[in-house]
Amino acid sequence: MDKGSRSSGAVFDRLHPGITAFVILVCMMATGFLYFDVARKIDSQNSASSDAVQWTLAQADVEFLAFRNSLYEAAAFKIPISTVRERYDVFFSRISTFETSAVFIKAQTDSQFSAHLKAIRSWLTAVQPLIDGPDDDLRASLSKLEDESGEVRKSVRNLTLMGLKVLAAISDSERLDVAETLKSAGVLTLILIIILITMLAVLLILGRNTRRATTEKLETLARLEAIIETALDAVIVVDADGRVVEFNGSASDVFGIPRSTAMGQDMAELIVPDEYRSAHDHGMKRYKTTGELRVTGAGRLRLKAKHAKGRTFPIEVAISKVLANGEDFFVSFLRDVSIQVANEAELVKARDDALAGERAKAKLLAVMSHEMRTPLNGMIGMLELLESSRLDERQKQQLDVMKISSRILQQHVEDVLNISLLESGKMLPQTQIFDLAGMVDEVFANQAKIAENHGNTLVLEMQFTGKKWIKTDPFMVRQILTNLIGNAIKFTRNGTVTVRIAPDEKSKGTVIDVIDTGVGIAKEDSEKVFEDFVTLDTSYSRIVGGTGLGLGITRRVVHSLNGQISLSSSLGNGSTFSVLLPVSLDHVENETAPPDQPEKVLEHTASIEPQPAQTMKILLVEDNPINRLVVRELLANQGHKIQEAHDGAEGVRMAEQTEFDLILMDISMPVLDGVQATGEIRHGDGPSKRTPIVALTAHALSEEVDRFRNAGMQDVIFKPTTGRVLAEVIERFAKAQPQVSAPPSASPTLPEPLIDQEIFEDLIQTMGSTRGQRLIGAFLESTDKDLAQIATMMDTAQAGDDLRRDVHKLCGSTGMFAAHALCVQLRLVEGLCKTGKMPEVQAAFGEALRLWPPTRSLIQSKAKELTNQP
Amino acid sequence: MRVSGDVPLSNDGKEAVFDLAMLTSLPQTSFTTTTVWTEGGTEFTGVLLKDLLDTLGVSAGSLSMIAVNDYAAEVPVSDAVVGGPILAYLVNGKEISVRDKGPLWLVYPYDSNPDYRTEVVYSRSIWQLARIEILP
Repeated sequence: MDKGSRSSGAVFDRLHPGITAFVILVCMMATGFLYFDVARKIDSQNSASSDAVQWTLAQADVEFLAFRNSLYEAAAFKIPISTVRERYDVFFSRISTFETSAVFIKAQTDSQFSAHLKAIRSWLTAVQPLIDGPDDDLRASLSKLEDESGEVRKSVRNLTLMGLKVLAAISDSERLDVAETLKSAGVLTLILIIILITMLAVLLILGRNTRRATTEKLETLARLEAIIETALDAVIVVDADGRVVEFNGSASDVFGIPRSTAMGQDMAELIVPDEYRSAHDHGMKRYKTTGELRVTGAGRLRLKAKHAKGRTFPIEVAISKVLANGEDFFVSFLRDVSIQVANEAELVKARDDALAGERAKAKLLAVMSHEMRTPLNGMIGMLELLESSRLDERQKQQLDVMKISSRILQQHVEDVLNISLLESGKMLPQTQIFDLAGMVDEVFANQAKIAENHGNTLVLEMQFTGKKWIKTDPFMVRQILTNLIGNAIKFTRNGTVTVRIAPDEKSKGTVIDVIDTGVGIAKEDSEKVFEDFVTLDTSYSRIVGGTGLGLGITRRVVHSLNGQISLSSSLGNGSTFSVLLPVSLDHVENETAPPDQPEKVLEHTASIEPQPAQTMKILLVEDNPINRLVVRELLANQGHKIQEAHDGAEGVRMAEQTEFDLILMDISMPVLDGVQATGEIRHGDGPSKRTPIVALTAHALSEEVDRFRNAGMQDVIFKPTTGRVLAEVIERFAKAQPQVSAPPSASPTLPEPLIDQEIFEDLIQTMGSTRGQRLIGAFLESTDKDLAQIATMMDTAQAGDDLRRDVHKLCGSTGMFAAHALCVQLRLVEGLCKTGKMPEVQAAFGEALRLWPPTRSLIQSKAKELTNQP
Repeated sequence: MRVSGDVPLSNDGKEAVFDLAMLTSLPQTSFTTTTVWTEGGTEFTGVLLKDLLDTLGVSAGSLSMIAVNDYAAEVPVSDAVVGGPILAYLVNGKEISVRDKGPLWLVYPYDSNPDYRTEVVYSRSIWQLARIEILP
C-alpha cells in the first residue's frame, strides 16, 4: 500500500463513523419521504376519484333525448304518460348528479359549464309542477314542453361538450401531477442510488483497507511470533501482575521450563532466585503503588536467574515496558551469560596473575639488587682501597678491569632500583630554576671523553632567544640528558651528537631533541626501545655495554615530569629522541642566576678533593663489619675522624656522649635499627641531638625513604657506596654548618671547583698514563701561552671577534682538561665579549688569570698522583 | 323489484318480486360514507346484498343488475359479503325517489375499504335499480 492511500484510508477510518451515520440518516429520511409521497400519490391514483365521467356526460344527452322523445310519443298516445314522468325523473337524477358529484363540482368552476347547468336546472324546476301535476294537465302541456325542450336541448348539448372539455383539462392536470410526482420520485430515486453507490464504494474501500490492514497485521504478528520464537535470546513477557504471557523457545532452553508450564505463572516464582525474591517483590510493589521503575528501561543489566533445576546462573537482561490495550506489559530479553562471566573471571584472574607476577618480578629484582648491594659495596670499597696500595702494572690493569666491571654491575643494580623507585610513583619532582643550556654543557663535558673516543662531535643548538631558564626538577632533567646523550654517543661512530633546545609553540613547553648520526633504529622497534631490558642488537649492546634499562628509566623520568618522549629514526640514518617538557623556557624574567644555582649543586658530584675543606667528626653506625671497614677506610682517606658503633643502641649511646658533625646510620641492625636509633637521638637530649643523620642503606624501595625522612634523617646513601658519593654528602652537610674554621689552603671565595675530578680521571684512564702525562704537559704550556696572548689583546683593547674566538678556543680546551672553574670563568668572559663592555671583560678575565696558577698546580699534582701509581 | 333468472325461491312464477315492505322486513343494515356522486358524508340504510341473496338461496354466479334507464351492471355474487354492499332504500333516513337515484341503490361502503374506491366498483354501484337477473 502506498503512502497516499494509506493516509486516505486513515481519513476514512477517522471520518467513517460520523459520515456513515449521517449518510444513513439522510438516506432513511429521503427513503421515508419518497415512500410516503409516492404512496400517497399512488393511493390517490388507486382510489378512482370519480365514476366514468364521459359516460355520465353522454348519458345526460341520451337521457334528455329519451325524455324529449317520450314527449312526442306520449302526444301520439304511443306510450303512457307515466313514461314521460319516469324519463323526467331519470334526467332529473342525472342533473342532480352533476350538481353533487365531486368531479362535476370541480367542473362548475368553468363559468360556461356552470351557466348551462343552471339553465337546465331552472327549466327542470320550472316544469316540475307540470310533471307532478294531474295527467290531463301534463298531457295538455306536452307540445309546449316539446317546444321548450328544443331550447334546453342546446344547453344539454353544450353542457356535455363543455363538460368533456373541462374534464379533459382536469384529467390532463391530474396526469401531469402524477407525472410530476413520478418524476420527482425518479429524481429522488436517482439521488438515492447515487448515494447508495457512493456508500457502497466507500464501504468497498473501507473493507479493502480493513482487509489489507488485517492481513498486514496478521503478517506482522506472524513475523513477530516467528522472531520471538526463533530468537536466540530468551524472551519473556509478563503482565503488570508479573504473570507470564509469553515465553519463547529460547526461554524454555535457558530456564529449563516448558512453555506450557510457564504460561500464566508468576515469573518471579519461576526464574527469580530465592535470595532476590524479596527485592523483586519489593520492586513490583513499588511499581504498583508509585509507578516507579528502576530495572525496566535501565538498559542491559547483569542479574542472577534461577534454573528449573534450582541452580543460579548469571544472565544479561534488558526490560522494557509496553502499553497494550491500556495495560502495562514488561518485555524481557534475557541471555545466559554463564560462559561469558566465566571467561571474564578467567581473564581477570589471568590479568591479576600477570600483574602479581610483574609485581613479584619487580620485588624480586629490588630485593636481589638490595641483597647484592652489601657484597658489592664491600667489593667496590676494597677495590678503591686496593687501588691506593702499591701495585705493579699487570695488577693495576687487572684492577682496572675489576673496577670497570664492578662499576657496570653497580650501574645495573642502581638502574633496577631506580626503576622500582620510579614505578612506585613516590619520586616526586622537586622543581628549581636552572639554566638548561648550561646543564647540557655539563653533560657534554662529562661525556666529552667517550665522545672523542668514538670520534663524535657534540653540538648544542639553541633555537631560541632571550631566556634560557627553566623551572623543573634539575636532577631528573640531568638524568634524561645523561641517558639520551650517553646513548647517542654510544651508538655513534665518527659522527655528530646534537642537542637542540627549542620552545614548543603548540604546547608552550620546551622540546629537547637529542640527534645523532649513528646506526639508527628500525621503525618497527621505535616503541620497543622504551621498554625495560630491551637491547636491540645483543651483540652490539654487549660491545657498548648496557642493561637495556636506560631508556626505560628515561621514559619513566620524563613521565614523572609530565613530559613526553618520542623517537624518530630509521636504520642507518641516525636517531632523534625528542623530549617535550611541559614547562616554558621563559620562566624567569630576571636572568641573573637564582640563589639555588644548579651548577653549584651539580658540582658537588665532581668536587672530590684529596683534602676535604673541613675535617669532620663522623659517627658510623653499622653492624656489618665489611661495610664498616669500607666506609671507615673511605672516610679516613678523605681525612675525617671516624668513630664506630656496632649497632643502633651503641650508636645512640655514643651520640649522647659526643657531639658529632655527622652520623652515618645503617638501617637494618640488630638490637635497635637505624630508624629507631635516629628517633631516640632526635628525641633525646644528647649533644648530637641536632646532628645531621644520613641513612646508609640497601633498602632501596621508595616507601622506605619516606620512613627514614619521617624518622628525622636528612639524606640517604644507597649501598654500595663510593668515596665520591660519601664525599659529596659530607660536603653538603659541612656546608650547611657555619664554617668556624675555614682551612687556609682552600679558597672560600671560589664557588667553582678548580678541576672536575670525574672528567680528569676519565681523561687519564682513556689516554693511558704516559700519553695523558704528555698531553697534560702540552695543555699546560699552551694555556700559559694562550692566556698571555689574550692578556695582551685585552691590554691593547683589541676587543672583538678575534678576542672572543680565542677565548672560546681556550674555553673548549680548559673544559676538555677538566679545568672547570677556569672554563666557567672563560665562558663568562666570552659572553661579555659579545656585549663589547671592555672594562667588564677585563675584570672577568683578570679573575680567570687568577684562577690559573692554582688550577695548573692541582692538575700537575693530580696527573702525577694518578699516573705515578704503581 | 323483480328478481329473475335461476331463482331458487320465487313468489311470482319463476321470479321473485320484492316491494319495499318486503325489503324492509329483511335485516336492515346502514352505514355512512362519502361517494363520488354525493356531497359530504351520507348515511345509507338498506338490506345487505348478502342477506338478500341468502334469503333467495343464491350463493354463486353473478347478478346482472338493470336500472330504470336501462343501465346494466354485472355484480359477482362474491361481492355480497358482510360489510359489503347494501341495497339502500333510505338516504339520510329518507326514502328515495327515482329523482334521488331511488327507489333502490346498490351502495358499497366506499370509505371503509379502498378496494371499493375503484371504477369497477363505481360501475357496479347501480342506482334506480329495477331488476336483478341471476346469471349462473
